[in-house]
Amino acid sequence: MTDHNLSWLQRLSASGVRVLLIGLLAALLTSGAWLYLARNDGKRFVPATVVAAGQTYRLGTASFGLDRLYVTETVDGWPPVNQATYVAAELRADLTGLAVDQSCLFFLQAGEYSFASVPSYASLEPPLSDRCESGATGTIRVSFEVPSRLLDKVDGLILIIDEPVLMAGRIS
Amino acid sequence: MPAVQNAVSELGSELRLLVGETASTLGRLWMPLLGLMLLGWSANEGSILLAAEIVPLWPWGVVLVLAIGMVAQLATILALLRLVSGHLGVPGMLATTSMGPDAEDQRDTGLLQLLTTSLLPFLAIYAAFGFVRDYAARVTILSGYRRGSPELLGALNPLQSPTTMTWMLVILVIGYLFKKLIDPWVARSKHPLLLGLVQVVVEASLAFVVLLGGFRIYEAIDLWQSERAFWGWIDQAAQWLGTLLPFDLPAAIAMAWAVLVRQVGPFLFDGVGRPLLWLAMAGLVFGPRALSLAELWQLGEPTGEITTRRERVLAKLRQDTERARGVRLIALKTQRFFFGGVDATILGAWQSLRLVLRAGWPFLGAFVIAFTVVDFSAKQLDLWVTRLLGGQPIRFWIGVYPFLDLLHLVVMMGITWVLLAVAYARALSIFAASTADVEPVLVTRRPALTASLRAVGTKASTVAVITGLVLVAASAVPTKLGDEVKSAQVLTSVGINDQRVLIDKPRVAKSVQLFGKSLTTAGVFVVVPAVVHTPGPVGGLVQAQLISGQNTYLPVDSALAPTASPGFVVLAEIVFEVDPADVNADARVRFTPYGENAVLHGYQEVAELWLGLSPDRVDDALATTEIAASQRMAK
Repeated sequence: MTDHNLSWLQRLSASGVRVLLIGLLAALLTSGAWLYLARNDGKRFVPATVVAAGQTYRLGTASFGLDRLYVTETVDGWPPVNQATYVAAELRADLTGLAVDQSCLFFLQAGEYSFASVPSYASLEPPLSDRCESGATGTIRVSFEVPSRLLDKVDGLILIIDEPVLMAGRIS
Repeated sequence: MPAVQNAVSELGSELRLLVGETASTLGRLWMPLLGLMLLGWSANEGSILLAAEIVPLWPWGVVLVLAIGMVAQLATILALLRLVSGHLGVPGMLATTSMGPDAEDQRDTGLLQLLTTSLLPFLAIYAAFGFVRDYAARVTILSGYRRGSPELLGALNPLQSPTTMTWMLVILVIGYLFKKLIDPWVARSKHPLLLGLVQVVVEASLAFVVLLGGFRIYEAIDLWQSERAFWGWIDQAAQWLGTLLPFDLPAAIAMAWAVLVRQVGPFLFDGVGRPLLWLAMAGLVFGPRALSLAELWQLGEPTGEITTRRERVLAKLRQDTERARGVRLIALKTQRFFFGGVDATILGAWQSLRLVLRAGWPFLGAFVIAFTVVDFSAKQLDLWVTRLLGGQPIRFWIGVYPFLDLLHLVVMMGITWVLLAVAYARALSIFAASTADVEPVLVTRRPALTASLRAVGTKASTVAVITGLVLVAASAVPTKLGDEVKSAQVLTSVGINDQRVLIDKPRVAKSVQLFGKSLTTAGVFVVVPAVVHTPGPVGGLVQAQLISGQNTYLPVDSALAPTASPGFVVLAEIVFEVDPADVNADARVRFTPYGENAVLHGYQEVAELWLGLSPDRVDDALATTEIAASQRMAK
């Protein structure tokens, strides 16, 4: 066997500790990267943007602002189930730039929990609406049924058009 | 019977040698071995992580990432095999022969050259045993779970659109030409190692394009041929033949085929073929010249002269090539340009496999047994660690999977690779022992006896039976887990991952009033009041099934139990239509959580709640019962 051929084998044999340390370092880096990318596993929504309370969220020429979050006793005349409370959210919305095929989804965030909006069958007088309509301007009102024990954890409204946006706010 | 005893004794000696040398090698070289395996693991997991991020942006990029990860992993494996073979003294053994200086040539055994010669056989074995499919599945699952991205294999399906087919062909042609054209420049470049690695990565990428996309074409052809009228003619011929015979020929053929394809084939392929193929792969690290030398030992030919029949054939072919003119010369040169590299890798692997198969029955039996024990231990370790961790939701398994893989890829595969290197060194030593001028490195305490043909046959049969028994025993032990089943009686709340379930005493009735309609049955209805609670922020649908004996029943109106969103509890009555014979003490309701993801689940908790029924409940069944409306509250 030539000296040159032995060299990389000999180097490998002679530097066992160094190889082990390099391997450990590589494994640690890979583990760290994996755990970092897994940090949001299991979360229903990971907001791409957080809009501070009172601020306006702009998407192209459309804009949304969370006016208020408040407790309401009924939705469509019906009370909530036992040990639950209705929370309503009102947003001022300018949807003149919203594409026709774009729609909005609303969720209420309370700490780790998120709640889908409750469908309402009552007709709302403009400028009130319960959905996003391209070209419309006014107030969108959506309601949520929330366990009463979580009311103090409500921290905002999640709006999803392209990606989740958290509009921070507290119940007033 | 002395022949049988001798065979068992030789088998035992070989096994002791393999196990002992493997253990002592691991003990002496554990630091560099562990370091190399950790590097290989990092390359594998890192490439999966990166590929999962790339899938939604550029599916074809996954091929490149996969190729880089695979080449990096292969490099660590080859380095490990060479390290172990050097420790065992194999290069020294080769150097003592008269062909010594030529047997170990840097051109054959440098790391880059080893990568080139080992890559295709390595990938072929990986693909044959499902590793490529498993890799693609992991990337798809991870990417789908975190990015909601489309399925990887669908994006690479050449039959899905003309664009995909065109891209695949373009990549194959350009990649192949690039690899061939760069060949002469590698040695002349200032950075031959870097350029050589690029070449190897390109080759690996081409192989993966074929593996990940090409199998769709194979599937389509297979489907097309299976729908031909030809198979109908075969069926008709078999049925006509069946009328001439006293037994059902088509049924006999079907049963024989099923046994061959589903039991014997996989048993032989996985139990015997897999270890031998891996062993042949390990032999490639010694280089083609060393393999030729070993072949000469095996044939008992002197190693100083090139006198084997193959060398004479090769010399004649060389002469023919030199005399070729015109079109034949162009054809030969074209063949050498396009397929010369493939010849070297495929022939090398084939040569290595042939050598292994001639190393003798005791060696082969001992190696297969040792490999099977290591493989079995790896599967059982994986199973027991999973059981120890317990049933968990999918987010846990997605996060922890690389660390479970660490046990397999680093610990168990590390032991396997060392065993392979020791086994191949032993195979070479068996051949070297037959020549006078070479000192073999690994010898058993009990030398093989010169035996008659009949004794050889007895030896082969004995080894085959013992090895077969070990394989059968290993395959009989379960290696797959179902789910973690938590059992309880009525009115006992049970947690299943992020949710809790509970049932009340069931009612048995001949008809039910459901949504204002009356339903009747020839059997009976079992009505189970159930409560599902989702206390935390994560929870999804829950499937309910009534199980009794071998029978499973779904609810009459839906497969799903009451749905409780996070922070809420729901009480509802689930109705099952059941055969009266299944109303007995074995009847229970199984609740399976879908969890946060309706498609993915790992080893998870399921609840089996015993209904406390007995056969006399059928006689006492209610004529009719009304199904209560579901109730919901926050909790």
